[in-house]
Amino acid sequence: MALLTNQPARLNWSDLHQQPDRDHRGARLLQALENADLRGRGGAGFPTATKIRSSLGSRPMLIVNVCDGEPLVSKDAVLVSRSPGLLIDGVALVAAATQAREVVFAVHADTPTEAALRALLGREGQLLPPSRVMAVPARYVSSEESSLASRAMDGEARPRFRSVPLTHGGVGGSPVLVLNAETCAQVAVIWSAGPPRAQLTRLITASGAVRRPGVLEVDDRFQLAELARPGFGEPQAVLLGGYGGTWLPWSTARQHTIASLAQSGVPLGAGLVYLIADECPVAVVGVILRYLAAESAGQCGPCMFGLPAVATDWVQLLDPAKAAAARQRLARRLPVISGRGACRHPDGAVRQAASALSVFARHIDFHLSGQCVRPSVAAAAAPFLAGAW
Amino acid sequence: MTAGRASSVRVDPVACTGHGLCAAWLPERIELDEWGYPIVDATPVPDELVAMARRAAKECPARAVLLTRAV
Repeated sequence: MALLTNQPARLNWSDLHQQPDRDHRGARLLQALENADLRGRGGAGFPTATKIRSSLGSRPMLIVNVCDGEPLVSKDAVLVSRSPGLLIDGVALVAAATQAREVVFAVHADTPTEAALRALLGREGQLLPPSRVMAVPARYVSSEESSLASRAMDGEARPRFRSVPLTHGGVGGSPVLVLNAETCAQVAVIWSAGPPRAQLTRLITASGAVRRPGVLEVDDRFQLAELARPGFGEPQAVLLGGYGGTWLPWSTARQHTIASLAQSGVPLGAGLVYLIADECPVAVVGVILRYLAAESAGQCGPCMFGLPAVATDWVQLLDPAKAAAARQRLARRLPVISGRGACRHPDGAVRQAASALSVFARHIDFHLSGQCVRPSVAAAAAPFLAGAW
Repeated sequence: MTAGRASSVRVDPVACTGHGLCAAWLPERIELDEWGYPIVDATPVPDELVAMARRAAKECPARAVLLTRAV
């Protein structure tokens, strides 16, 4: 399928940086992004026009996040290999509108995407303000926006506490604008084609028990049911967004379109859609919770103590002698961990645990009565850990 | 931060090392979780509590308690 939409014609580069038109073009761009209601595609879903507007005139460092920080998500990598022109055009539009002083492409170190980006900037870098590729460690929180800002200013790639927003110098004192790679590509699509709101597409990464794993471009009317494998048993549930995402039972999810998901308030985050069919879901959740705990940067108390505690509670939920106490601890802990870190990592782990607790309640009961016959933790863990590192 | 200008308490979670003194100075806005880290109620601090809120900020060994003017 086309990524994204019909791969529109490239920008007219000779016009882009001409002074007389620049402010006018910036205003038109913001209006177009607002009309399309473009939201960030990195996970948080913040309105892109609002973010760019807060950087106008501040000559920010523009950081383009090409990390695919979610282990099972590969949309940024696919974008670089399949639609590099859109990425560069979108970055150029934002850079011109904000008069960015520098463009930094953040990518996980030693990946094929890092090499592809270096080659791409070699070919097209002259079309942008001074630009460079920044390799970051392939850890879960190292591509969080304040981590990237910190890394770009010669710091460590760890989330940082901000008392003012990044766009106002919250990290390192000078303004930084961080946008996801797909968000930038969507800026180019909107600028050239101006698709109305209803036609804006998004990239999802289908994973697990799906008809065809991989990245696909979908519009609002796309039905999650289309992802299931015909001729196989019904999936049990779907994980939406990422590891720090939301489980829905398949019986609910199969009736949803992209639009209805948004209406019901289920975030698509970084675009992961993971269907679980045969494996023990409780084991998969346990692996994810342990992974998220291990990926804490270890800076904020609620995250560094809370996430391992929740992962341990999850295991004890399956032990008849300990289940009742574990359930009480989770009920107490989950509500107080969210929103207290420098980044949203703990919030995601809580979302994972809380939605799993509700969606897999019956399956947890199977374990307590010794009836789960699905593949074990080790078997279920394999695809996750392979994707993670 | 004069009287009449509402302030609220924030904690820098990276700087915070869980000493817990803040909750002792300002229990009206800060309680501790089971690991000793503050859970902060960001409701603006009324005038009569501002002195204690300042004290909580001043006494924090990690300098992690911040008083911000509410928007």
